Amino acid sequence: MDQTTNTKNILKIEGIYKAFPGVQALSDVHIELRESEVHAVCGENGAGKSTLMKIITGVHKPDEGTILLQGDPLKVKDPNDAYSKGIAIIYQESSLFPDLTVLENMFMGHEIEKPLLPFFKKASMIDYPAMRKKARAIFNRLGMDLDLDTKITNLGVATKQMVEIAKALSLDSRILILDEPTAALTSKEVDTLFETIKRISGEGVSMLYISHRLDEIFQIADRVTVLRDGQYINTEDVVNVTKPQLVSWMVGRDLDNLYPKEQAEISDVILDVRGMSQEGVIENIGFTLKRGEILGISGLAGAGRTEMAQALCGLRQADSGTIYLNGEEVRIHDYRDALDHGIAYISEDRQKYSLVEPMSVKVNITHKVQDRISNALGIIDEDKENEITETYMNQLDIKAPDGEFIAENLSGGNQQKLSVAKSLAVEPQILILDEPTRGVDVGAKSEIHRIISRLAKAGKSIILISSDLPEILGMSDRVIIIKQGSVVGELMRNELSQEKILEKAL
Amino acid sequence: MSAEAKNKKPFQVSHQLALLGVLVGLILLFGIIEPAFFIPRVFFDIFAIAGEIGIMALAMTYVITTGGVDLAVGYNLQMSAIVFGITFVNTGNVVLSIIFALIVATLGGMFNGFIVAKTKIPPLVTTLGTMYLFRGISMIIAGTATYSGFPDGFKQFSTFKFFNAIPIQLVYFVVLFFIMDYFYRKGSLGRNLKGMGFNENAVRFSGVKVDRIKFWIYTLLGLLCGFAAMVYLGRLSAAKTSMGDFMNFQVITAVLLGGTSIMGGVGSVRGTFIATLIIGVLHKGFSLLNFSGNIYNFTIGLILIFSLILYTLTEERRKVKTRSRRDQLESQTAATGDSGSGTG
Repeated sequence: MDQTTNTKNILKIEGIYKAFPGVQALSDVHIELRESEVHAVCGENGAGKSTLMKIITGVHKPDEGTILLQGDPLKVKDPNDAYSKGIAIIYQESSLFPDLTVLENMFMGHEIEKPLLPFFKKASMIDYPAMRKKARAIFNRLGMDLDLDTKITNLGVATKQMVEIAKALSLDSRILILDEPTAALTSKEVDTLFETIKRISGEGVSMLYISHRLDEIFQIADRVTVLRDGQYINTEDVVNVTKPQLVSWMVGRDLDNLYPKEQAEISDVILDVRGMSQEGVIENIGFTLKRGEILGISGLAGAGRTEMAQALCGLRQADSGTIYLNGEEVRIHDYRDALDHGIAYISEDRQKYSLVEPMSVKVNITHKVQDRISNALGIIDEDKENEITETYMNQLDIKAPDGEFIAENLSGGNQQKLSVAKSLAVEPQILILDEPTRGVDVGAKSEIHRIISRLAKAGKSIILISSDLPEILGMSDRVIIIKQGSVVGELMRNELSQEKILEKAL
Repeated sequence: MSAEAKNKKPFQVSHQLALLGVLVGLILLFGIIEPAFFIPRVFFDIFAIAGEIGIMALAMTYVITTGGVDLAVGYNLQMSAIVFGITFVNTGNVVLSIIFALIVATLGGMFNGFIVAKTKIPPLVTTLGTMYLFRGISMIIAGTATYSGFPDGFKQFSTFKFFNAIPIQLVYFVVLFFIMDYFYRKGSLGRNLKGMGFNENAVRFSGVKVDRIKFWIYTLLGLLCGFAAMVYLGRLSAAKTSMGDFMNFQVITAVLLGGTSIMGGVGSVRGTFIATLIIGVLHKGFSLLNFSGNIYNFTIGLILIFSLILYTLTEERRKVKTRSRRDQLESQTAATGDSGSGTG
């Protein structure tokens, strides 16, 4: 295990215990972070990753345990204190000020100052030239050229992340914690980020890298530590571990199949879309969908996949196009029409477009079918409502104490299942799932895939939009590829491969 | 449903109990300071005032629940009253005057609803604009003129007493309250209103015609402004352009004091009912104690600010609770070995 050249520990975490009311979030967790290493921490949600990071950065106090920074006991009061001790955390969401420039953000709170007048030490002003010089040097180290006077709001997600990293480096941070840094990046941006990570780790910065994406761990990390249910499971050099092994450590059992596809009977064409266009967004899109079929829609983000689905559902007004349902032409003016025709859409952004989070599970599940459970005056029949709620809570195994439970208290995976339940309650013939497993951990992912398979087997037709190629490969009977708003290719299950899809999509 | 009670009701119930406590306390307080408070006529006046404000406040509860607001209500009432006055003076036909007045008030509400539903202009700004628009229309039509001489039959609108005791305003208010509370709590309408206040997109993505709902609740509020104008006129028996000044703030204060959140999503028609009575008691109590209207307006302002602060405090507490609840649940499911969890 100790074959790496540098095995000096910079951070040593030992025997950490942390309990929240009613739960033991961490028990006896230990991690050793070596100098210059990229150390991945993985585990399902609730495994304790976030809690551990919050302890390192001083958000939570551990009940027991010690943290040694270069051999000295570390006491951090809060994240700012951690920052000043050389430990920086970069969250998924940007913490930069959008209306300030790159330079101002980098030195926010620790501006370089110079005295305004001799002898009056307190009367100082910001030394912009010095800050500029230092900022340039840091961006050089990162291997990127960025206009320091650009406002943050004009930058993309990836560049913002670089600015955050630069900010941490401007404070001479020796330990960088990256929390799901690639969640919102395109694959090209991920490559750039990884280059940066390698570069700065080569310069002696150590990194704790948290990610759900196992492939990334193999790509970037030197070692990996797995947590499960708040317990330390294992630490291993990445070269000595395989993906299935990692998954089984994470979920505590062998997850034999992430894509449990079942053979469904695919029969006649149920949906036939022709010449659907919306100026500047989608162009002349046409495809068919059969009963019991899972149709994968692949393509880059921004290629028009979501727009196509929304135009089909009346959530967005198409300029032209005809839709045939069971051989008959139908007109869909708004989403209500789509639902009435048995077409339901599950948005990729459940928090924004799917769930009313502060309301109950029951209200959310029955929201799309309120007409069916209420009388002419719109008064809701509570018996019918409870029946539907119970049915779908059971069917999708939503882990909530009861239907009155408030949706925002559910975990991400359960919220996603709730979002699916909401559309299933419509009893649709056609279900459009837009990135159904984004940001969901492996266990919940395989569960959602199982649900999709089961639905197809029950004769429903599924349109599966996903950026996750293995998911598309694993689940689809047929795939259409969309590029710049048009269909550029179609592949049957037996001819599917990652390369073929990418070739057409790029 | 004990689970139901446990899960979401505590704040609402305790808030309404507290409001009831304040109501009873105020009545007792005024009664002790001024024993003349405890005569039936005083209560009649309280219900008259509360009824007029309350008719509008009930519909305003719907509007505020969606995250909207209507600042123009008092001036819509004013415009409607002026239209009634001028039509009556010119035609002498009460029925025609009432119809005109209600149509104008409804159109006023429709105008608000149309702008709010069809544009992205915030309701606060929209209705700030229409507030001046309506006031401008009244001033152009009437100037400082006063219209009076309405027939006794019309005055029965607001002076009639059932069994010689129950003022008709109370009956309007209570009947409307029961209807609107029922739809709010039991109907899919109430759900959609709350859902819109929390997350309008999610409601739209559930196939609900959100714009249509917005249009109709502002329209309903407009109609009820017209109705309140008729009730008000019957009592004052003269229409002039100072009617309804500051009434918008009394109406909004009643709704917010009643526990409806200015941010939308959370609300209670029952709370509005009780809070309206509190405002009625204050109004009458202050006038009995010979406090000036300025002190009354000052107090309304104070209550408004207080309600807003109270809301932000409880909201902050709710968020903290939610966070710890989620942490707890996640750790629990993790502890039982379940994997139905997601990103963090």
